[in-house]
Amino acid sequence: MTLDATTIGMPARSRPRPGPWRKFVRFAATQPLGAAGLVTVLVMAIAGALAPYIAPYDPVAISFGDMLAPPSWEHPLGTDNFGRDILSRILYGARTAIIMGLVSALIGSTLGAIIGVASAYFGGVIDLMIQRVVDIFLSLPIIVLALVVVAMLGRNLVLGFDFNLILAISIPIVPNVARVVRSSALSIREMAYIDSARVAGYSTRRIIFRHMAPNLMAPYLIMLTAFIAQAILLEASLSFLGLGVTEPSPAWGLMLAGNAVDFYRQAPWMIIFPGVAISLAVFSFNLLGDSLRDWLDPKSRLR
Amino acid sequence: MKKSIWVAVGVLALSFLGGQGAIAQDAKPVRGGVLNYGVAGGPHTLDCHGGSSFAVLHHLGPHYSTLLKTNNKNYPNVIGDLAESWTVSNDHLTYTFKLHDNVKFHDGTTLTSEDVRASFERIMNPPAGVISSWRSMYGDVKSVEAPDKDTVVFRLSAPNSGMLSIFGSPWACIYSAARLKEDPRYPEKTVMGTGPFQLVEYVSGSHWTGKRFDGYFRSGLPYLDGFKAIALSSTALINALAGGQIDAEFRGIAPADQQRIQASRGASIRFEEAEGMGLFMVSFNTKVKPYDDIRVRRALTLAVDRWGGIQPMSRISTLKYVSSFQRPGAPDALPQAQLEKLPGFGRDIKAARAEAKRLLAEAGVPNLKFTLINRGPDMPYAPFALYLIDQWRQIGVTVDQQVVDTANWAQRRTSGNFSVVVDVTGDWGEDPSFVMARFLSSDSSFNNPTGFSDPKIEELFKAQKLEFDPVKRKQSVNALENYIVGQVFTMPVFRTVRLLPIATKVKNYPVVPVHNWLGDVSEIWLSP
Repeated sequence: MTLDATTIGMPARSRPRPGPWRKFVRFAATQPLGAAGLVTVLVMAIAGALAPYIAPYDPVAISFGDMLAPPSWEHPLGTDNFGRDILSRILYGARTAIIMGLVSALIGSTLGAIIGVASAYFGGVIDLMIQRVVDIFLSLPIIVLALVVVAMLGRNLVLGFDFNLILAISIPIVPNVARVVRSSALSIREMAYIDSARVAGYSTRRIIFRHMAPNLMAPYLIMLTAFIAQAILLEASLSFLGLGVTEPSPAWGLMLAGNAVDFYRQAPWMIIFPGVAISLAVFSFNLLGDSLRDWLDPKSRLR
Repeated sequence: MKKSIWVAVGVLALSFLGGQGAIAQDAKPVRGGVLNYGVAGGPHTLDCHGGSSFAVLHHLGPHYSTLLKTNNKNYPNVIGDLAESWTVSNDHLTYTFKLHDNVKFHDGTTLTSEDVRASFERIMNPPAGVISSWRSMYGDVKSVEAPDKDTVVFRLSAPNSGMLSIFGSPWACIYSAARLKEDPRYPEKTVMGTGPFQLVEYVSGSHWTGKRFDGYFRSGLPYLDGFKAIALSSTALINALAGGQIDAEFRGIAPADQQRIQASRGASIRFEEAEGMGLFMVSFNTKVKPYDDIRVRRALTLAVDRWGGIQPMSRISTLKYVSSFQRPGAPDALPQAQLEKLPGFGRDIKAARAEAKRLLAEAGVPNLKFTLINRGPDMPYAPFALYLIDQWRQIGVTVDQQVVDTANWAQRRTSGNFSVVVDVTGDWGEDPSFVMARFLSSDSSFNNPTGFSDPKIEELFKAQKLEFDPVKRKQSVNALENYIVGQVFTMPVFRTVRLLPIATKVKNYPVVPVHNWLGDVSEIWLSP
């Protein structure tokens, strides 16, 4: 058996770097489920972004004449008890879900990664204290923690989105990411190039952000995609409980709550389609996250 | 062919006999049986005088008597409960009540006029530590006297045409004077009255059971051996009704649940309905700009299409009637023609919205934005707010809804921490003297959260209170209501329906609009 640069995981300098399309094709070939997840997520994001142009109806306009109408050509996914078009509400709801999910997961994962790296780098008492705080937060179920935060913070609308709700979803993500990133960072801290950087007199900030952080991108990205799904689910759960997005704003979790509970026997489409949208989004992000983990893991590439 | 004719004749004859039997059963009350009913909530107190929620009376009601009570067969008139008869002096300042003989408390002691006096005294002048939710209602009563053991005399400082209705309040439970003397707070701990049922057991969050009180003063009553009030969440309550675990619910359910219960129970359940006492409104904080400007408030009430919205709203919520402050079927309610002249109650919504837009532009807020504070429970608060938001959107007003729990809503409402709030009333009676009392100026009525004050309201209120001629009183009440609706510090919109699911075996329960009062359980009987 002969080993070349590619099989031992080192980039072959002579070859040109592949473009995004080639990268995607390679990713799709090795991770077809992940590619399907990525395509679904992209379709949802584009649909959400273009909702004002492609939604057939105003998502908040009440039309009692169309009340509880079953799926038809006019209303492909039916209408709710106020005669509002469910397809339009789902399209607009994708905006809420993806923006809330993405921003919350980004804030939570980034904060978690910084805390995790810092904890691993400093070690000793600092690491001990940070990890005990992380333990406390991890002992609480994510939904309970989010409920506490949302109850404490109240509402704070910024550009039509409740920033405090985003924080409430972000905070439970922080300890989870901190714990995973710390474990990866602990092994990087022992690498010779980190010792060299210390000996060269680089500042702590430079060592953490310039030398450790780039090597933690893989676990960070995996956690980020996994937590986008969690954040979407959390936003839907909080809205379902009446603590998230409020009516008449279209949001998937909200579409399952309130009057849907009273009318789902008469009009099952009121809960089926928003439920499918939530499941599909969560499933797609999870597939993408799992596939990214496998794809970015050099060990699994060696197998 | 011949055989089928005979079968048909037989079926007809049997159904005729069966029908006659049913009629005969309905006509003749049967003694025995236990009534199981559901209550969506537990009592927040065991003391009627300190209570205010329906859940209190839906548990305590069967254990107590009151001086007068609402006649549920001739609503909203009052009849005697403990009072056998009464007289009113010509100047309407003295009310003299003769009590029934030989009324016993559940502990075996005999009720006297002193018990009635002490109970009313407790409501009007609560001793330290005692909560009286109904004190202000008796503000016109100067003194209560008990000249002999069967007579109670109330002396008033000013005439009040609603006084008899007020004496019939279901919250004015009569307690034992001797026990009150020992401990004025005993009703918070012990349920002991002169009502038709004695308390057997109360397990908080589970159930409350009562058994027939054999010493009850009304001969032959109650018919039931006992009752069991089962505490259930709203969803569990509907499931229990559909599954037949409970016989009735006396507060009222949503129309959407009716179909499901009916499908499960078939002919074993019936639904009775009445105009409800729950009035859904919007209150504006007139201390906050721009709601201090009547043009803005008027625009917001004009934008709401009440007549166009009520029919579909009645399909998806418990809201079923367009209503001003008084129930449309109440004796002193505004006639329909007058109602439709009030701002927001007209039939021409296009013209009303054009006027609304003009008023907003004139007031300098053509693109008004605000946060509507709404109360947590979903039905009918959520659909009500959603409908309003949609209506206001049509005149260019953007509304963000903030849904808060009941305690937070009440706190924000009473402290004035709002601009626009979903508001509600749920009175226990019809008399304008207490229906309209909450809409007195904010400095006179603690229940008016809007900060609005206008001496003309007090003047009109006093005029109707002093009027004893029914026709003239109605005119006075209508003038008061017209004026208050015109000021738009609180805008009435829709009224609830009281839709009761009752097992067909439960007999003799006339449905009245008031949902706080459980009704006369002593007269209910169960067909075998």
